[in-house]
Amino acid sequence: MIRKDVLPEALKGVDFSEFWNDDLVRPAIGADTDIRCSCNIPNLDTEKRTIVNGFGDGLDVRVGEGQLVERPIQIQSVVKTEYKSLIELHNIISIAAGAKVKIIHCDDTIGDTRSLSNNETHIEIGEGAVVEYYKLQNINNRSGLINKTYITMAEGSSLRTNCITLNGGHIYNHCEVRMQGPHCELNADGLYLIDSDQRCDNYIFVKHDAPHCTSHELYKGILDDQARASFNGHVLVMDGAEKTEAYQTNRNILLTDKAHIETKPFLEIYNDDVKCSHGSTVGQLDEQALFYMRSRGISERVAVTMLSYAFCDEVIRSIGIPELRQAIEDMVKKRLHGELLPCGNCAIPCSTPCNGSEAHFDIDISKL
Amino acid sequence: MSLLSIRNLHAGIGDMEILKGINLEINAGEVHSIMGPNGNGKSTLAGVIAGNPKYHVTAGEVIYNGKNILELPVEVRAAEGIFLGFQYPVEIPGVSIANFMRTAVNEQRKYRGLDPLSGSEFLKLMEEKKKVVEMTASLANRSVNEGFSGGEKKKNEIFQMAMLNPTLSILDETDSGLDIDALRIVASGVNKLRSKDNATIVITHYQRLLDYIVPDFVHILYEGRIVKTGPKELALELEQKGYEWIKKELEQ
Repeated sequence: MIRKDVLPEALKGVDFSEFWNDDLVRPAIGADTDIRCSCNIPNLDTEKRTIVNGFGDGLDVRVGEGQLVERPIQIQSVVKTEYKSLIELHNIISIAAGAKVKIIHCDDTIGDTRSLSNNETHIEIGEGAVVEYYKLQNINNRSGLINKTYITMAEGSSLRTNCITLNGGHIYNHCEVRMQGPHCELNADGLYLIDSDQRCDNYIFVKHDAPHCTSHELYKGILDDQARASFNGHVLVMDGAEKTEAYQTNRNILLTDKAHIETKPFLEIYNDDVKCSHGSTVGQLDEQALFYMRSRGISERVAVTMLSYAFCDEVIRSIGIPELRQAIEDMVKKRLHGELLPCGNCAIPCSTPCNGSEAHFDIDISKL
Repeated sequence: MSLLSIRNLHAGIGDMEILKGINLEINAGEVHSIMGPNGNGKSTLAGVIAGNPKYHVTAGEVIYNGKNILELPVEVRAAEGIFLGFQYPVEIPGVSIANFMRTAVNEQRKYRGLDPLSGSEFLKLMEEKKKVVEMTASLANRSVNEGFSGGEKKKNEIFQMAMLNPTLSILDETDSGLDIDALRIVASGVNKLRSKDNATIVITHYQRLLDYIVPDFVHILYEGRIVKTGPKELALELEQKGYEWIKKELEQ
């Protein structure tokens, strides 16, 4: 039996009982489960631990001082299990001063067995390091994912992060970023596309602890059917953080009357010398634009898809790896067409069927 | 048989009746101009023919090519050959003009049972039609109407008309917001697209546009009805005497 206390502190108020209160939920141990957490790292001074039982283990990725990693690192957490399972993965990514690296981190399930992953990733970014960190989530409708990311940024470092939620029963993204030295630059974007009974909660906390730092947050979501989502953003600007610039935006489109969004942008500022803004919008697709497109002969269904995609474009455009951007564009389009489940619930289309033992991601890292 | 035949058309928004019995016959090869003061139903008439869902038709019929189109969805009317040039073209950030037009052209082709144009066929068509309105900019990366000047937006409307090759075009105040050079280009674009097989309805306030696009008939739409119809000279007379003249004539 899994006790409630395995769930992290941060989850107060977010109810995962549907996933963990089940009688048979248990840690994923043994031959009947296949929890893959693998990492593709080209020529890098790194330590790689293989997951044995999917519980409490994870990857340790270290990028050395001044290392320029040209090809992106891909981390895959793929859950394939026959029994309802609880998975805990703890990853540590440590990027030393002056390094430059791009990381793609995918969460996936194969098959439609219920699972709950409670994953934690700590990212430490050294002075002047330049990092891109992309999180892609695509799990089956019966599974939950608690995705906690804790990031610290040292002086003069920059981070672009983009969290893309394409599918999942209930996904909770919890991200905390602490800017501990001056002149840090953060771009934190997110996109959630959910429908049916899916739920996606996003919490992002950004702490400006030092002067001359900039943070831009842009989260966008499209909700269909009776899906539910939340955005809870918190920017905290401390007393010593002069010349802070912090911008926080959340935009949502509800395609139906039953879809439900709660959005709470929030700034907490203990400094007078700052430029900050926050805002959120909830709306429908532009009726005028729909009529305009239909008057050119575009069917309503296609027009809705095109407008939905256009809404997402701003977030996708900021992805700094062209091949990844292209792959995400295709996946988002498929998702909006309702075609992103070519193979049961395996969300990233793979070249082998779901019952095969290997997952081949469409995003072929060797070609990036 | 007329290309378009409107009989006793009543329509409005919500409870407000705007069109109060419009009758109009248009044949292929003709250009009709509809003039009249603001707020008397010109744009409503254009919207009703194109199928804008914000208007409700309460009586009458619109027969196009022998079919009553009032029950047809907007996109089907478009595929049947009806084009509306918007008074205020809508900005669609994130959708490129090329993608927008390629989708529209191919959706219309699909409706007619034709294969979609290939990428290169489409690009060729686009380059050819850009010339109709002297467009030079690359359209591949520009979002539809986003950041366009008034003149560019209207040129873009006529470009789309050229791409879609409609049978009935309704141009709703295509001259508004245009400087004299843009007006010349837009009007000459419309003239290039004229043929014996298509018809155009030009909605305008001013005679100025009709110096360039010469109509076969001029209709004056006032308080939801067409109160006067005449040859192109009617527009000149209207320009000289103003709408007060019509009002007085009606009072008598």
